[in-house]
Amino acid sequence: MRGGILWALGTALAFVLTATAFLLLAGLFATSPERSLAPSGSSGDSNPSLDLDLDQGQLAALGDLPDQSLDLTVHNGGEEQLSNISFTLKVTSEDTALTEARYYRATVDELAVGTSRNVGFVLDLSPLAVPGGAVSPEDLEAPQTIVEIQATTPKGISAVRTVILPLQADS
Amino acid sequence: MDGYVVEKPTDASYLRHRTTRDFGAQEIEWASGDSLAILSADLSKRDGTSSAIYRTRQGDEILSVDEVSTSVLAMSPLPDGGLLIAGEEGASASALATTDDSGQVSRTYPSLVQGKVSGLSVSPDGDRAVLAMRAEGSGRFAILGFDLSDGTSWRIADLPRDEEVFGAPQWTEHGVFYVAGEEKAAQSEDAAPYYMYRLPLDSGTPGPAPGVGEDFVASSLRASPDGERLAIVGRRNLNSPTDLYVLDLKTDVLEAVTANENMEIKTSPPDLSWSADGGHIAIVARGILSGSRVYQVRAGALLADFYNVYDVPVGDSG
Repeated sequence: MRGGILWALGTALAFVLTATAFLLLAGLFATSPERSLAPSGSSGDSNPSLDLDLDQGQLAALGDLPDQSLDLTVHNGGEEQLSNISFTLKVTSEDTALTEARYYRATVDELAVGTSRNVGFVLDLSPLAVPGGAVSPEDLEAPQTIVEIQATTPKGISAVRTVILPLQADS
Repeated sequence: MDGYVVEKPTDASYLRHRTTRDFGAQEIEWASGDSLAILSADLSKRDGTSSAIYRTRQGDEILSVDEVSTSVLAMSPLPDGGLLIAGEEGASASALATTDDSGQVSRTYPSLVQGKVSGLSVSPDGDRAVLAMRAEGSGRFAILGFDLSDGTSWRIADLPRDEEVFGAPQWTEHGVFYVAGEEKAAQSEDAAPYYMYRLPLDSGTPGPAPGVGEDFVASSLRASPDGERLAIVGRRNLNSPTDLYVLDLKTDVLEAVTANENMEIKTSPPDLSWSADGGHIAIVARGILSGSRVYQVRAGALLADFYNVYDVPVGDSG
């Protein structure tokens, strides 16, 4: 009787081990040959002391024209007052053959703990100049516009936001 | 890259050499082991109406170029180095010539091809070439064969009226493969899509390419260096995302080698290339961008939002 129970337990154990081995092997060879191109992106680090916020609705309304308004909300989430916050906004093209960049600057003198301030920019988002002899934008997929905003304080606290804008000529 | 040319070792993250940014490059091929052939706007004319071929010289930082030929319509690398070039000859004809791997014109073929060559490629053994040609006047496209040893050409097939060849037809031992569709389809979302065809070498009657399925929408294709496989950028059907596929021409088995619902692969023919050993395919792709995106990093740290060259390992044939 005891021998029969041991034989049954041994058989069950052997079955479980064999099944596990088959499942592991199946998992190894079931990997799809298709590849994903998407690289692992970097979402970046947020700085709790200096936070920048952009209005998605306003971003969606931007066109490739001069005099486009872009408002930025800066928030002091740290534990001490921030002074002399410098903002640099740079507009460039995804097309790296277009070397022209447009720069805009602003300053916030003081920002108390826990408060926010609105910083407004008026941007020229009209298409950047094509160098002589280069392929014209009509020959390529429409290059995206890159708006890079950097805020820094004299104490070295900084924050960056990069906006990728798929501006269309008819927007 | 964006109309200029950079040289980057595949095992390094830096760009070793680059041309000036306003170069206007349209297509690049290896002309020899250490030199690139560049099809570009003719730098001496600057009006964008004529193309020329330039060959790179090694430099310290700027990639210097020498002019090889002007009034060029199309080019294709030869298997043993050098290029086959189609150039404009008058208003309605094309002339063919080869260059050696030093960039010098080594042979000019006296017989002209009637029509303007829009794309060409050389067979894997280097003996023949296949040309897509557009007749002046009627505007009708045709596929021509060309014998590189004696310079004779022969008509393989005429395309239906109002249909155009997209890119260069590919010569393989299993037939000539090409992508064609209604003219202006590439510029219009409403126009009929492009499809892939095969012309058997002993017949002038094209048929749908075997193995891909009747709904397959092709954008660009390129034969592997041994001519046994085709790299294809296309879609399984009109509602599928664009992916890279490899068609085994011996077995007619189509394999999807990317699965990228969130990536946009560039579909122009020069943006698809095999490595010399046939083990890798280079494509250009970026993330699909449906609206504005905000990131908490500098633009230089972003990758997926911009076009990058991707190396896709595909293994050896057979």
